[in-house]
Amino acid sequence: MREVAILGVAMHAWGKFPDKSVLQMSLDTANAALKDAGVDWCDIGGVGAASSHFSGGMGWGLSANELLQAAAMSGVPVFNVSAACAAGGSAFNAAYLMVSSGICDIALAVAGEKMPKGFIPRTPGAADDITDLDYLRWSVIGFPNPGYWAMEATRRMYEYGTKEEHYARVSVKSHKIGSINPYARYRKALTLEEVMNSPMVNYPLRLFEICAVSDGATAVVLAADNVWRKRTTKPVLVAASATATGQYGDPQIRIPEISTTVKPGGQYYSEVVAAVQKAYKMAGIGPKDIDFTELQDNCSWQELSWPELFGLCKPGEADWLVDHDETGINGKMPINTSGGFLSFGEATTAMGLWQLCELVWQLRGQAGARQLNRAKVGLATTLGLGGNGSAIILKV
Amino acid sequence: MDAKVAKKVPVVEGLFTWPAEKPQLIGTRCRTCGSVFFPKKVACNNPACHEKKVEDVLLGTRGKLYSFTIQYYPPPPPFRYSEPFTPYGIGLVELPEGVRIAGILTTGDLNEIKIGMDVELVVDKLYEDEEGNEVVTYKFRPVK
Repeated sequence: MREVAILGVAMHAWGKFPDKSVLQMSLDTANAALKDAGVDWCDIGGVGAASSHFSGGMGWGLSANELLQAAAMSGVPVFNVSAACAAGGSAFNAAYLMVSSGICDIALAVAGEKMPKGFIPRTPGAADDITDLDYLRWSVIGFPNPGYWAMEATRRMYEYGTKEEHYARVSVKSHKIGSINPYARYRKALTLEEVMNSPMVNYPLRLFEICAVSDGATAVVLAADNVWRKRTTKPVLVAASATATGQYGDPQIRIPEISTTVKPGGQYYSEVVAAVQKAYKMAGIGPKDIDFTELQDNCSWQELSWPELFGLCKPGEADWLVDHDETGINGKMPINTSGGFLSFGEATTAMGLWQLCELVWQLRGQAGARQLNRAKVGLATTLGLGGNGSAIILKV
Repeated sequence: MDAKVAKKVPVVEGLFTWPAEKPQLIGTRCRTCGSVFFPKKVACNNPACHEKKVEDVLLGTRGKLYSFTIQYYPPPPPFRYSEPFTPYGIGLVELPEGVRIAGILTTGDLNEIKIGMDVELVVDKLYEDEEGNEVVTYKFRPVK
């Protein structure tokens, strides 16, 4: 395997863009990433693209083909990767495998997403019977996504004594960082009182503790060592890129299931934890070596639970760390220095690559007001519907 | 017979036995490793199982509340409810078979919902349809 570096990244503005197509958003962002990398479309030898369920890709998830047919019909191989909210991370993994294995020297990973308004609709054509879990969870229970996270959050309160205020404090921390990130959609700092006074959505989670949905696009240019060595002496290296799927016996209540079969020793949140553990192994490092982490804060609960699952701190310790602002920019375990999904809103398939922009900017020292004192090794991780996990470690 | 007598119609077929005096959830059991799944599955997903032969199984009707949330806003269709909407509990209930099942909690007083409480399966009204039928689903009720 060849050593791979990230040559360039770019992020579209995050928000709602009713007058702009997802193709235009992806193209503008890809062009910006190529410029950041100092390469041209002719240099791109392969593309890994996140397939969206909602937008673009000619309705078949053919996002890479659509982009190349619009901008550069160079004939290169592509992977259109479907992994729901982990698709950005998986698209990166596809591009990484193309470059590291020698299929091409320079690859583009790209993701563009336009989300429907309000609730995510059911897949057209699915049957209204017990074979469609999405139908069941809605029609039989009325069980929306935040309800699943809330189920885990309530259990955490029982097991560790976590309080509702801990979930609120995570939101305060995230919005504080969001307020100083020029890319963030929500740039207003919130007080603890404002978060606690926001409407209860799914006990114990309140409105300001749950991410919105957004439109967004991101692109990353990767290159093999024969390329990047000629261009830079300070590369941002891909220390690891791993994906995993869910494991038998995992006790999480996984969207959109209405049950979970639990087995002794079953790994909680197995798809994402296994991806992270694979990434540690691939990078030859452990959790102690991680300086900062971007993780999928669909709600505040993940920011407390997942650092513990990743071994970044001890089980139950995250509450204390949040209380003492140790997960903030100046803390000893910075989480979501971008401001997280809470400050951006989730553009589902784009988030895996979106996280990498923050990692690269921190590692390059380009993160402006949110720049960390120490940023040598960063971890980015997502979880997608269907039991998809991705984990990427970048280092300088 | 008066055609307007309300019928109790299950919200979906094949999820629980109905009509039944004591309704039970219908799941799947692996003939090789004994793993239980809900609702019915086409195979056992234990990677160590080679045969993957499964059979229907009726699940026990008593369990313990493992966790819960309270649904404070009306979920979108295909969920249906009778107006006015009132917040309701959703429980994750651990059955002795090693399966945790999500379902609506019947508890009117939401403060009564506690992790660890004993609950039992009931079939109860979800909404009334256009023909005047009572559409029913499975729910969990605290055991007094």
